[in-house]
Amino acid sequence: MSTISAVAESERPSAARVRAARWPVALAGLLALILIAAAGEIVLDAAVGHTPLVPRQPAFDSWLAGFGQSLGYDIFLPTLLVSCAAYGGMIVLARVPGVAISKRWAIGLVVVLQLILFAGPVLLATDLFTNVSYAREVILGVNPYVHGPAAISGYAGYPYVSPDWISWASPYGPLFTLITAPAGAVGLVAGIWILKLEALIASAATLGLTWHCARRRGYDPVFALVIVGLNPLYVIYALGGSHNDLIMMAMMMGGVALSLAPVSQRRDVGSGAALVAAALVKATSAVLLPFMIVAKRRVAPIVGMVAALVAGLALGYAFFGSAGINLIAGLNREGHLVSSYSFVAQLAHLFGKAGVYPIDHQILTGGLAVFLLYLLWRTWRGYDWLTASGWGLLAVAVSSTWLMPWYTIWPLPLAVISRDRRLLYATLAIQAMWVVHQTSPLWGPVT
Amino acid sequence: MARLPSWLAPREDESRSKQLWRIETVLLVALGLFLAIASVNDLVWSIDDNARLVADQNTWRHYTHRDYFNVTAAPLVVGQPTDLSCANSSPAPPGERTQICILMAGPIHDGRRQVTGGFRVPARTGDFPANRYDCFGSAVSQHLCVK
Repeated sequence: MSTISAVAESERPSAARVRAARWPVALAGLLALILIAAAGEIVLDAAVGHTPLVPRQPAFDSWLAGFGQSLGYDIFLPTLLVSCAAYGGMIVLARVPGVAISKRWAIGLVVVLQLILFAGPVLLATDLFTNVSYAREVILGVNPYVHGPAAISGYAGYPYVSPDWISWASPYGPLFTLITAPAGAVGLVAGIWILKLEALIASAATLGLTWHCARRRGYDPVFALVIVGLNPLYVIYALGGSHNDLIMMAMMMGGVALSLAPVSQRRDVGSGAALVAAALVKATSAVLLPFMIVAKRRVAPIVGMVAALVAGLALGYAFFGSAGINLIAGLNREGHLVSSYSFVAQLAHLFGKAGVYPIDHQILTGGLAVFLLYLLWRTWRGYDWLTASGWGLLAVAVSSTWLMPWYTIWPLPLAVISRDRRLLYATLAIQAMWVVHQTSPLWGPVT
Repeated sequence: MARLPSWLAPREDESRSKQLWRIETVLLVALGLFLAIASVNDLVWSIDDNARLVADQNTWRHYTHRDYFNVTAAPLVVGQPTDLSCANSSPAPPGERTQICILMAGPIHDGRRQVTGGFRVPARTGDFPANRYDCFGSAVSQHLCVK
């Protein structure tokens, strides 16, 4: 009897061990609360009204007003930094052996964060109002690939478009313009909600497909979900601004998921078609196409790509004429803009130059082409094509003179299912550098 | 395909070369450090820049005795220490009245900088040399005004 109780005693975990096992769970709970509180703070403060961080917008979410204070840099930047720290903590905890964050818990947290941002005002960019104006143009029979929002200056959404973009024709693919056209057929507030809902659905699809792909590749799907779904630049910037990058990424990950199907259920035609569909939303995702072709070395994905391209261009031509199928024109225009966010502008300042000049554009284009060719050669030689595609997207973002914070999330879903962990570290490092660069208003006065 | 040299021939699975992996990693780390240095350098630069531009706005308000909120401030030439600050001569939305523009340079003292020159620009017109008038100080010596 005494021997049995002695054995039972030895098998019972000590109090210290129990405590040691509990602290990561408690810490994860605390970090989750911090992430939710930070998102809530930003949304409630943004609902107070227009600031340099919150674009002018109709009061479509007035039930949120009255709880916060005006969202200035003094609140936003510390909140963003706290979010980033909590996100980093969650990543570490998700990797601690034996402290696996439960599936249900991770999904619940991601859903709560997404819904908070969905419910709130449009954050940090006026793109949603430009897009709803393009949608209105479609409904009114004005070609958004020829005329900017200024062509419909009587539209209720027009005053909310940034003056910088009122004369700009749409730089996006015809599929995006057609998907979002219903937003122009209804009132402005309903149109805003339609675009916000599309971004939310696209985000959910991106995360679901990332989960699926991670499992298909033998990786921990919870870790993948934590990395992408809790990422502050993904949640606050991409979803907060309802950017169409989320729609592009959902289609891109759809193509990737189809390409990872078991050989018995191979979906190469659909996979190629989905990647082209993503490029018909935003041309950036075309980066994946050559890597898929080089890696698969089969006709089926090319058939899918060609079929989707022909269908997409036919649709674009039918609705918008030749201007609607010139996918390169929009990219070229954006490529000549320079954002103070871009690493290229930072490098120019480092070398004592006042800005980015045409010669710099040419050098960058050449460097990017060489890098992509190297990646293609590596893929041809057996390197994981999804990883190469992720590097390609990261290189496009870093070398872009028109870098926006939500561009840095492009490679993230690929990085978490990559066979090469360096891609994930590089993507997170680039995001960290971007966030640090944004903190200047914390250290001095702002004009 | 069979005739391709071995380094160019397609492969189904990657042959893991430690040497290639090391070279790539070293290059990536070097590039990362380079970008990090550029980021921090730019951060410091923009902190200094912001402090200077706020001092420019204060200088404009002090010099013109007009306590307006909408006062523009920007380097005359990007990367150079001389700044140009403009605002309305009487209360109105930005640009709707004759603009008083002031050039300033030098270090910040008591939250303000030294005024070196200036000019006026008619309401609702762009700040181009041909539009500038009543030029004085460094605006004249630097030939910023056509008139």
